[in-house]
Amino acid sequence: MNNKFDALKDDDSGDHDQDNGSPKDGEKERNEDEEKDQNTTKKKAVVPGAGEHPLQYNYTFWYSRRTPGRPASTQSYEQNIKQIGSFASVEQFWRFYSHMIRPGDLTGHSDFHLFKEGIKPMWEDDANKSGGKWIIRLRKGLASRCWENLILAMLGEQFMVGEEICGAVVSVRFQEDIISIWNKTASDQATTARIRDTLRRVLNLPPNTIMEYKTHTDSIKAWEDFHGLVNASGGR
Amino acid sequence: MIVSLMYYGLYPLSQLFIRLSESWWKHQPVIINGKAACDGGARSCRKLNEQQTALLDQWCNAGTASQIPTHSPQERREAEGLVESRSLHEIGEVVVEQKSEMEEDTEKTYWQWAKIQTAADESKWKSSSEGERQRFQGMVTETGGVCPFMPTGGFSYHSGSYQAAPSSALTHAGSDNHDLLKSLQESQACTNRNESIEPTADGAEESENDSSKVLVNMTSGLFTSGNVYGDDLGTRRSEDQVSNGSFTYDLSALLADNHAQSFNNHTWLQPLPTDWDFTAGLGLSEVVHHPLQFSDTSYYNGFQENTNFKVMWRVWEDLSQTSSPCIPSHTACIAPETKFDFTIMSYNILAQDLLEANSELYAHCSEHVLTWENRLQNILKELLTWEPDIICLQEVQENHFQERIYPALIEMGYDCVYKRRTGTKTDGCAVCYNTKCFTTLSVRLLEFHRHDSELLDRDNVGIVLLLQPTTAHGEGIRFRPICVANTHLLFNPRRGDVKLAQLAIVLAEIDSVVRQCKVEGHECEIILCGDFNSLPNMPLYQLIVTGQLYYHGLPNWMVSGQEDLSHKTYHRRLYAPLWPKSLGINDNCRYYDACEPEGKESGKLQYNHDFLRQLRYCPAACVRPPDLELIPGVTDNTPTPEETQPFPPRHFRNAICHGLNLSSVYSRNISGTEQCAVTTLHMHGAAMVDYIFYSTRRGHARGCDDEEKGLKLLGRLALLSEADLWSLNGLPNEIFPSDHLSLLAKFQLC
Repeated sequence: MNNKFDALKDDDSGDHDQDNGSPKDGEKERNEDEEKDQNTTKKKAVVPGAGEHPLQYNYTFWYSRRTPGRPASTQSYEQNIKQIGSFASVEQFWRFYSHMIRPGDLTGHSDFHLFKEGIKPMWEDDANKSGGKWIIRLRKGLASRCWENLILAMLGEQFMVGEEICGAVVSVRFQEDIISIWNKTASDQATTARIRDTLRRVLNLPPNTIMEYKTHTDSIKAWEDFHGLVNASGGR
Repeated sequence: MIVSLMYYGLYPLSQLFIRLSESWWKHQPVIINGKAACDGGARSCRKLNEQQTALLDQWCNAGTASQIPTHSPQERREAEGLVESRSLHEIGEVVVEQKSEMEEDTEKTYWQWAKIQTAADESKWKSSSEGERQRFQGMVTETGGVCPFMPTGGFSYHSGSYQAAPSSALTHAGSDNHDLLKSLQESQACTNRNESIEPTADGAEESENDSSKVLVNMTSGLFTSGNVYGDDLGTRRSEDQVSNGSFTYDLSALLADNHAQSFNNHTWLQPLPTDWDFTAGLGLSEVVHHPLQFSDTSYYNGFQENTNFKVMWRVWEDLSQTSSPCIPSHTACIAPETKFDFTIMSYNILAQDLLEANSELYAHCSEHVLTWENRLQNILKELLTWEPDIICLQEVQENHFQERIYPALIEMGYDCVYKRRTGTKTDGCAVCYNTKCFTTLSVRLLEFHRHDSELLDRDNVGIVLLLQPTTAHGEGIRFRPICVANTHLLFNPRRGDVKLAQLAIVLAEIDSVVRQCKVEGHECEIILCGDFNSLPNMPLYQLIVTGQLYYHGLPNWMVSGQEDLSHKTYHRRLYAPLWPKSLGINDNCRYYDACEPEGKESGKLQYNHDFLRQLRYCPAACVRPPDLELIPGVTDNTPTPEETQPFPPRHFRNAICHGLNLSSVYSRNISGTEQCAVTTLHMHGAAMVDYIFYSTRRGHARGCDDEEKGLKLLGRLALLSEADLWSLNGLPNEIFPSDHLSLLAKFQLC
């Protein structure tokens, strides 16, 4: 398994601000590096295999599960989120995907995240901090299909919004499932509208499906209000 | 005394006449003269206004001592008659005379019908001064040609001919003068001129008198047309008033309230096409006084039968104003040569072999109507009348095409592509285009029959052409190419599955043409037309216009909706896959080979859904990643053969879609009514099954910028209702040679 930060060090394009972020950011990263020490054995960036169909971006699967009984906090969120693996081609994607349980069959309070390599599925990530997400609440039974359609559209660059897409999340909850797609700039209405339209098209949503756009700043605020915390960290 | 009587009598009349004149009789040369004189004359007439009494005196003198004795006295009589509410008895007699002449001329019936359309349309395009001039010339010769028929002179001719003209003329009165104020001013100016200017120049007197004569006729024409055409254009409002009242009533009503009346009418009127280009017809009166319609001698009876009148021809509906709200600024900011106007017709002409094989469908028709020679002549006349720049024909019998239709079309300046249905079928589709307007970029002939498929075992065909508009303005502008597709889908009402598969082939082929264009760096517009054997708003139609269809469990018969088979206990239903993989077409109605990585020009590695899914179980994807941590219940899945379709079809692959944004030229109802428009009718029913679909820009604001590039619907030839057609003895009949009506649309390519 690649460590995403190692991968970023190989990447000179400077797409992501973490690479040359503030000292504070660097400290945070180091902490995380320690946490994920067990994952950092391989340092090679993922590349498409011979004859494989390369993707426009490399992506990383994440999985998170809320420990029953414990309150959600920064600490627990970061502890509970786990990298599953990164891939660079269509074939590599299927390799992971096929060995993963469909979201509809997950138990408990679980999430799958699929984010561009180097972007953490967290509100505070530099790529996300001024961003937002489209949220679609689904009745039980639809999540597997919608999730697959959503990530196929994302991997296949069907959203046509340049670099704007950050990643996608499927959240399995008690009575409903939620899928969301995150983008970098919440204030870019043209982009968010385009994402919404593409979602409608690729997900084959029933016409009356409600789609909601939420900025991460709002999410953070709501989370802080709820938990009475000032330095919040964590995403869905 | 006489002078003042004349003055009081004529003043309101002339005011009324003139007000109506511009809109009603635009193509009358005299009025055009008058209008031309208006600009110059308006100023002088104000000056002269102050001397009105004196001038009126002069005018009367001039009138009585007219240099055109044949017209002028009659006009005077007529005017007096109207004022005294003696109504139009004289006109009535005149018309009857004229009609009887026309009845002797019965063999012209067909031609007359055609000419109604021609004339009706001609009367509409007159806004540009160029058009007016052409019109003027046209009418001069026309009047000259027809006058000898009329013992009473030009007068009766005019009064008669209004009956044909008005619907269109009236229609465009409002739009013609883009604002009513302007037209009001002009009429006012004309009025003034009429009162005052005539005496000023002796040389002008003749034409001026002519003009008032015409205006008198105008009034008679007004009532006639109000009666006859009122409901044609969806103007139920005026119908009651007009048809219940006598002429006298109408006249007084109009005199009392002529502003309200005439301009009220304008509000529902549609705008005019600017350059609908047909050759001048014979006299309109000829056409209107069809012997079938006016069988007895009473003028009034003729009017009471006016419901029959409207079925005599099909109205041209101008949509250029409604379709784009910003047309004025558009026309202002874009030079005309950056636009390319063209017309396209879709027409199922009914193959003679099929007619004879299904003669029970045409039991209501006379032998004569059904003969091929007769039908052929009418079909060719119809094509000649409209001269569409592109003609898409269905049910074209191969031998008839080769022997008769093709040579005729070649002579008319068309080039043709023909595709016979497969198997033993003798008919097929043809696309013909005017070689002055288009050149062919590519031709694709489609056969829907596949030997390896039980589903696609039918012999229907289609043609997909890529046409390049050619400009008269040289190489400066290159318009977007137009992909023209023509097809005739399976009739069988119970086989919606076959229809959908056939349609998918057409859509995939269009998509392939569009992509090919893109590869070469062009956007391309799409026109898809033909006989789809499916009703409006039913699933197949919905797939075309909305771009998607959820078909899972849909009963087969419902796809087209031709027949309601819901009473049956067992329905074959649609389930995935709709068509075999061997067809090479995916759920997006695209060829698989088109699903390879696309968008290379944008530097993006794009993959669509289907392509990605194809790789799902490729060998490389089935190996468990060595670095994948095993988390029970999360990453312990194993790809299994059963998982080849991880989601059962009924949950997953239950929709088809396409990415061509298509809209229908025709809507389900006849404009402004609740009546269903039909395109075909025979003994087993009537329905709309033929369509012209065209590409539109969805999701973009309709602004006045470059985004507006594309096809704009300017107008269409209105369809008729089932009742209309049965009043013409169904289809085919003496007028319409097929069991389908032709569809005709005019587009502008920007």
